[in-house]
Amino acid sequence: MNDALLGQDAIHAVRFSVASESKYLAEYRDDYQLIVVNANIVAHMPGAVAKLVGERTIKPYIVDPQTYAFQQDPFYVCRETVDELGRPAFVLKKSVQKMATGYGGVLLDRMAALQAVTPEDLSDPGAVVEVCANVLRFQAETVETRVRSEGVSEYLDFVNVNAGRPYALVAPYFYLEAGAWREWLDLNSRFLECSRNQVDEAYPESVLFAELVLSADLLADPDARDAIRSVYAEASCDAVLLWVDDMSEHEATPQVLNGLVSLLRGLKAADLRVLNLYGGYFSEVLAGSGASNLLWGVCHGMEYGEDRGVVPVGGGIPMAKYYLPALHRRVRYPEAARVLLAKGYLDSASMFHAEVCGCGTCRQVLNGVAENFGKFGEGEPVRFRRRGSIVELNYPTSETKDICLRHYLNRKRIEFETVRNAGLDQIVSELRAASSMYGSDFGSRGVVHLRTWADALDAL
Amino acid sequence: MGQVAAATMGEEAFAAWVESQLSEAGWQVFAEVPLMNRRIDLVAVDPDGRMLAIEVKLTNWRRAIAQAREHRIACDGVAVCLPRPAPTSSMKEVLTSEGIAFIGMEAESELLRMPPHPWHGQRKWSVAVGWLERSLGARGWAR
Repeated sequence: MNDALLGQDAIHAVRFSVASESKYLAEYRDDYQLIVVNANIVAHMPGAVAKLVGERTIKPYIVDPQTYAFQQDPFYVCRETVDELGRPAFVLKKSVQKMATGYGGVLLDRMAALQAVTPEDLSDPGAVVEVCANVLRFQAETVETRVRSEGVSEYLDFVNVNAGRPYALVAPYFYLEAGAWREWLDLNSRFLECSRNQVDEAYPESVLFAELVLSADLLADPDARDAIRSVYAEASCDAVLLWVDDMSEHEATPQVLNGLVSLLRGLKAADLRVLNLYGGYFSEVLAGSGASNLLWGVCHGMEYGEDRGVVPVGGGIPMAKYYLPALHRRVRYPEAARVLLAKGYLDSASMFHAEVCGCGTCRQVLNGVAENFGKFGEGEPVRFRRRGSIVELNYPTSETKDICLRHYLNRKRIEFETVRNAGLDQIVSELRAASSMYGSDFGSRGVVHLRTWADALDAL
Repeated sequence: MGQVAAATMGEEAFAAWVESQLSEAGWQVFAEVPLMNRRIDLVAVDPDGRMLAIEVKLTNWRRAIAQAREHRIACDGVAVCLPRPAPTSSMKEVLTSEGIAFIGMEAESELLRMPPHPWHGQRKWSVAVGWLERSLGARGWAR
C-alpha cells in the first residue's frame, strides 16, 4: 500500500478537523487519496478518527504531530477560564492537554508548567530519543488501538489495509522562524536522524515523513533555503510535509512564490517528494505534470485551510462564501452575487453553468432556475452582543453551508483533474484570461493573484 | 450638529441623528438591517416604497463605499453619509463610477443635504430584494 501512494503524482489530501466533516470525507472518498489529521484532534477524539479511517472512508491517513506547538508561547494553546476565587485564569485547551499527555517527557513537563520548550531543553541526546519515541508511538498506536477495539480491524486486514496504522509516521519538528532558524533546524535534523533509526527498528513496515514548517521570509533567503534543503536531503525520509507559515497563495508576492518554487526545486533535485499541507490552486498546479510535479501533493481543509498561521487566530463571524472557479478562491457571497449579476451570468441557469460552474451541486441547487443561486447566500438572523450592544446579522443556514462546501469539494476534484491532465501553457492562459475577465469587477486586488501565479508558472 | 460635534459624538450617535433627520423629512427609516453577511446602517424607504441603503461613517469613506456597493443589488439606491458638506474630488469620482449617492451636511444650517435623485437605476436582483424585504418585514415594514 505504501509504495502505491508514494508512486502516484498530484496527491489530493484533505484535512479532518471536526467530527461533522466525517460525512463529507466519506461521501467524497473517491476524490482524494490521503487524510491528514492534526495530533490534537487524534488526542481529543481518537474514536471519531478511528471510525473515519477504519470504517467510513478506508483511506490512508497521516498525523501531523504538531510538536511546534510546544515551542510557542503557551498562551496560544490556552483557553480563558476562572479560578476557584473567580479570577481570570488560563488553562491548556483539552485537546492540547491530551496531546501533551500522549507525548509525555519534556514536552509534557514544559506544557504543564505553561512554558515553551527551548533548544536547550533538548540538548541532551537522551531527551531527543525520548521525544521521538513518544511522538512516533503516539501516531502509530493511538488510532490503531481504537480501530482494533471497535472491531473493524478484521475487515481492514482482509482488504489489506494496515488496520488503523497511519500511512506514514512523521518525525517531530519545530518551526523555523526568520532570525532564529539555525538552532531549530539543527534540532529538526537530530529529530529526523533519530526518528529514522527508531522507525527502522520499531516500525519497519512504516515510511517516515519529515515536516518542514517555516516562515515565508526564509523562502526569499537563498542561504536559508540551501541549509534547509541540505538537512532534508540528507534525512533519508520518504517525503516532506511543507507548511509555510501564514502564506496565502492569493496574497503572496512574486518573491515569495518564486522562493517557494526555488525551495521545491532543491528538494526535488534531492529526490524528495513534498506535500504542501496548506495549499490552493497554485500549489495544485505545481503538483501537476505541467510543472514537472514539483510538489508531490497538496492538502486543504473543508472549504478553509488553504493557508494557516503557526499562531492561531480567532474564527470571526460565519460568512457564506462561494468558491468562484475562475478565481480559484472563495468570494464573500454578496460580492459574488453583485459581480455575477452585473456580468449577466444570473440571467439563466444555462448561462450560469456555462460561465460560472456546472458542477453537480450547482446544477442540483439551481435546478434550471438562476434565482436559486440565492441558496448559496441564504442566512438566518442571529442576535449577539458586540461592544456592549445587541446586534443582528444573518448567519449562513445549515443548507447554505452544506451546498457551499459540496460545491467547493467538487471544484477541488475538478482542479486536481485539470492539473493532472492539462498542459502548463493552457493553465497559465486560463489564469490570465480570468484575470482579464474579472479585473474590472473585483478590481486589481481581487484578481492580482491570478497574474502573480501565471508569471511564476511562466518562469518555471 | 456640526462636523466637529459629529466627530465628538461618535459614529453611532451620528447615525442616530441621521436617522431622526430622515424620519422628520418623511422617510420610513430602519437601522442596522441585516442583508446577506452584512448590516446596512440605515435603510430609508420613501413614500413610493423605494429603498435607499445608507452607510454612515465619520471619516472612512472608502470603507463606506465598499460596503454600500454590495447593497446595490437589493436597493433602488445606495448612499454614503458623512458629516461634511460635499465629497472630495477623489471621493466624488469613485461615487460616480459606482452609482452611489452622497448625503452630506449643510455647513451653516447643519441639516442633512440629500441628493435630489439618490436612485442608481441599475438592475436589482429579485432574490436579494426578497431578503431585504424579509429583514424589513421583521422590523414591522410592509409594502
